[in-house]
Amino acid sequence: MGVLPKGRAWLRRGAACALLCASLSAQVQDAPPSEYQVKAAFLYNFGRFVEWPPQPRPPSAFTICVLGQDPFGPVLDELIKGKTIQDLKVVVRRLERVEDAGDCRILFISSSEDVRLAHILATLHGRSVLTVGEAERFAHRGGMINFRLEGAKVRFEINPDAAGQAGLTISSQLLKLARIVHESPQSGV
Amino acid sequence: MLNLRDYSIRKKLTWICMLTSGAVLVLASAAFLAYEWTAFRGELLARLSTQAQIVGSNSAAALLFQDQPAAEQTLAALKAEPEIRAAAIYNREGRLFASYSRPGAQAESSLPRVAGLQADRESFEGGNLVLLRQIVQNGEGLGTVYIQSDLQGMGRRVRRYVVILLLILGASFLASFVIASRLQSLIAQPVLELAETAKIVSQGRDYSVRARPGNRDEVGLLIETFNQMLAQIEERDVELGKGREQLEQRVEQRTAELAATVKELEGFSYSVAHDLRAPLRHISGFSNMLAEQYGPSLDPNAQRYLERIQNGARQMGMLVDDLLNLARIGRQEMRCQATGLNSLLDEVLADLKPEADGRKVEWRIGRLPFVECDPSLMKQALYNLASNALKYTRPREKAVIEVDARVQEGVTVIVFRDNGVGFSMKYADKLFGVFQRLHRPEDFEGTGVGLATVQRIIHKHGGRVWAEGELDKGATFYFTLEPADQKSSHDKISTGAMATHDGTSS
Repeated sequence: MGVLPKGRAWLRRGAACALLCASLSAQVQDAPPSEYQVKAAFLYNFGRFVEWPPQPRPPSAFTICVLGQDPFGPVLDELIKGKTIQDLKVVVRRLERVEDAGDCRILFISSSEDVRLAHILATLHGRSVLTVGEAERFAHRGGMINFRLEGAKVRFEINPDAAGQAGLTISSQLLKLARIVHESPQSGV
Repeated sequence: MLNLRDYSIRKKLTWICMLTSGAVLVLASAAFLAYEWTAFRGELLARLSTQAQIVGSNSAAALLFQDQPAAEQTLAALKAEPEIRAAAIYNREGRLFASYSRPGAQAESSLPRVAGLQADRESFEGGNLVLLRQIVQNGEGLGTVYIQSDLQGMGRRVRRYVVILLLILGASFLASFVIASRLQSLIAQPVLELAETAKIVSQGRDYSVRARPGNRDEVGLLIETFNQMLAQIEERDVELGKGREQLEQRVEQRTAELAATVKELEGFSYSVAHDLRAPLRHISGFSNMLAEQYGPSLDPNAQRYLERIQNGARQMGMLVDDLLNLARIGRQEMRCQATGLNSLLDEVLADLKPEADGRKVEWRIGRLPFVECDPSLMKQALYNLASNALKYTRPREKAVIEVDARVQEGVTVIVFRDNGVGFSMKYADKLFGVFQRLHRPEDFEGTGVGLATVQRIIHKHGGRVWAEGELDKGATFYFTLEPADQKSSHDKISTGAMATHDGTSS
């Protein structure tokens, strides 16, 4: 029952918001953007609203990693071209194994890794990596942000506890837009 | 336009105070209002700018994550600012993302179309403040916040200020009127008192009055100066009075000296004339005896010489008699009594009858008054004047001699007019001098003492005598006398010569 949305303001909105996110590139302006174009933009925008703890060795780039089967295709690469977050150049890296996620700031965990999720999250435990997924109950299971669809609109859930444990601070502005969930693995699958 | 010039100092001062304070208040209020107006605008602008900033930064995430409801919620917070009619958020392409309009206001249609990202700007247009603020995050423009606000609040506030200012203005005007009315007495009161004092002084010619000393200001100085002036006038008055007294004393002294001298001179001339009589009697007596006893035996030349001596002696005798007479008049005490001039003149005419014998003489005698005089002296004067008139009308076939009296400026004037040979007015002042003669002795005999005697008599009576005439057109003699009821002493020496001059010019 806890998963069901309560009467939140954004749920009452229709699917009329056909506008593309401001960050999307000009070429797709006319056609309504695809789901993964929106998700790519969101993925990048999350970086603006999350604070990472200071690191002893300053990173050379802001790395966005995609673990497992990449659903974005070229969209993500095109999007981050020439972009910076917190004065760091944004780069995209695709990983096979979670052990390679050493310098990742944001880790998108593809649905293909769903079965290994517990292992992945355990591996990342104690490291300041923002985990983003799109699997069912991803956030409930210990992921931090989970994309979900409400009709044609892309929305997201946030598990602030998970982010807090990883030492990440999520902006209240972002929290305001999200559905907040808490860890409840036993009620899942 | 009120004309201040003719107002009293009281009113002037009050008006000056009120106009001054009024002008100051109006100017200050105007400046205050103008400042308030611009301050309101600045304040409103700053407040709305802050609101826009807040809305902008609060809706950055909503814009980035396409959450229109969240953005509209953020905008709805603007309800707290009642001036805001409408607000909107545009995305970076310039499309309307979220909008807000004040309850009851139809603002949707008034929202502008914008193209892409808008630069920050604000403008007051048509009673509205329009404000555009870019939504910036991490240096990246995400969209634009638009806020439209009316100036009603501002208008309300300014109206309230105007009402308050008008109240203050009215109250201050009233207060300044009261204060000015009280304070004007500080200046006006002493001035009015001074004016009152000046009026008393000028009306009563009382220079001993002093104005009450005032404060130590300009008016006080004026009062002090005024008092000093009064003191000076008073001092001068006293000095003038002293001077006049001294002058009177000096005149009296001189008059007494003069009278003494005149008396001395009269005495001298009397004794000279008197002493001349004895040798003259010898001359005339012995020349007469010579003519009687030895006349026939003398040759004709000697007889003519003798005759000349006898004539000279007779002439001299008359002269000495006249002089003695004149001197006696000066010395003689007057015995005045009311005397009718008509009867006196009748006696004179009777005495003169022999002289008018064989001549046509018309006497025209008017009604003459009773006067207070010494009858014998007055008779002498009338005699001299009448005989004078008879003498100088001798060349006329018919002599007309008028004697009349008239009252001129309260004084009785006796007039003797004849149609004789007259005289030139050039010599009018010499007529009454002793031994002064205008005619040759061959034409008219005389000693030149007659008119001098008249003058002395009239002066002794306190009157004046003068003459008018023209050559060949007769002469008129005037003298004045006081009427019988006015009793006074005429023993004073009078300035007769001056009176005569006055008379001749009239």
